[in-house]
Amino acid sequence: MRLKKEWAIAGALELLAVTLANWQALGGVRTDEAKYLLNIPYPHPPFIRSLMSMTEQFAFQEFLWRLLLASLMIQAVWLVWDMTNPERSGAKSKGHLEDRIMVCAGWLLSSAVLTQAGSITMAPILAVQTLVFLWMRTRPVDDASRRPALVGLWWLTTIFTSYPGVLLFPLVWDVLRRGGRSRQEAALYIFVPVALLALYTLTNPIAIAIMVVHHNEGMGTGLAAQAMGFGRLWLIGGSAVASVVGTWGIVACSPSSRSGDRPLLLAFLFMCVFVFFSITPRYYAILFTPLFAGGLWKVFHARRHPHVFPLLACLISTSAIFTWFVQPARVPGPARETMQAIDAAKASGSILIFGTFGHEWQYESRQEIRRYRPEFAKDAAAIVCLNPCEPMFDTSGWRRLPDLSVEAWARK
Amino acid sequence: MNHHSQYRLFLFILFIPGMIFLFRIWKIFPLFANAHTREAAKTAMTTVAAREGWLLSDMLVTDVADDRIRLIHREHLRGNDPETCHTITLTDFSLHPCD
Repeated sequence: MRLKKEWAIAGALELLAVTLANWQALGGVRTDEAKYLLNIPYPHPPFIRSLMSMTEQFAFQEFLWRLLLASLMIQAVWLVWDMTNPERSGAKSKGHLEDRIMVCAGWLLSSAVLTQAGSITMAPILAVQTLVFLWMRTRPVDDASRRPALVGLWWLTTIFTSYPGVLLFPLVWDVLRRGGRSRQEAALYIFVPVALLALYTLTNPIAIAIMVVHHNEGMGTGLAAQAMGFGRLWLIGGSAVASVVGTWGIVACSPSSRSGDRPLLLAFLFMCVFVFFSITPRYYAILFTPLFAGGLWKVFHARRHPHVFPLLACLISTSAIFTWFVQPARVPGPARETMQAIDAAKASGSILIFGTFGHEWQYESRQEIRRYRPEFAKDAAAIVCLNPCEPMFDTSGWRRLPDLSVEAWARK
Repeated sequence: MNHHSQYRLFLFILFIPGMIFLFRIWKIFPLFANAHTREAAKTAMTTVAAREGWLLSDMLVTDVADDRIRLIHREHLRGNDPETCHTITLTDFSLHPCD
């Protein structure tokens, strides 16, 4: 009976995941998503993007990954549910159902989860990886102590998924120390993979160059703008309610209090500093969400709270409002329709593009993409002028493709 | 498996990619050791990219010497990504197919 109920919940969650994946798909492939789907080697390490690239032959590659990542994000709520199991954590609240529902809602109703489940970026994956580390900390000691190498491998995959993963090291340290590892062993399990990541980075000079070029871009907008951007992401990360209560849980249950959680606090502080000094892209909001879930549980772990349902109602309302304002784009850019029109023209050769363009143009193309130069026109199948092409090529052998939002020409 | 075996297995798993990365770094080490070579390589890549219409993100440097760099140009497209190997001479930025 209980198993049947769990399958029904998993099915309902999967329906939500499918809906969110479809929601993301409406906007087509964005430039960052194309970068990962095509395994373009910057800025992040190669683990997940090389897995994505292995499915490039599938016509449904984009939706496959949207669905996989949306399912991962939504079904990750089971980790939150298990994390709040009172038998495991010894909670003083005795694990009242409404407390556990509130913590799970903090994850599922986060505007960041709702608007990023199904987007093909590294931040949602890192959020789930963070959640796994938080969950590991609640596992029985015997269980964790038997598998330090698995913890180390999970850490390795985390930091080889995206660079901000290294900020989670206080949580990993805690998992290993709880499992009975000595300080030396824990340090080795943590820092050898980080050294390997540093070596990988040195093999990819373009990634280093891009990091160097962009390293100060965040602060270029000024401190006030950065603070505004940071605040916006902090609010989206927990739909305001979970942001406030979660942060309170992380900070108020600080090391100075008896129920202190220094690793969670440190990981949160590192993430805050990282996000504050970044260019605060909206997808970073999700980096806060698992930490807020941890903070929420700290609050409910400490004592029984009588006001869970009013709080849950507030969370539902704020989640609806924030999700409405930060919903993903529902109209695709011009790349897909333009490339489909060029494909239909059936000319062979490269495609020349004039103007600044993103990797989504490469993703939509099965022919070589080159930057426009008039002398390349003789070997080209099509020319796309995102800005008026200068100098203009001789258009006598070309026809302009009709009904497109950008100027595109195909060879006659 | 006991803790020490796990410890050793973990280090062994990391040792293999570590050696591969060290070998690759060795091949491009002049980029890190010599500011002049680094600047010349940067100029060579941007010049060739502009001349050939290539994207910088499609160019992967695999070998660096004082007078030339070797790179793989990989067209990142849906499906198979055609790859070609080239050498750029740092004195005149001329492009040659690899030997």
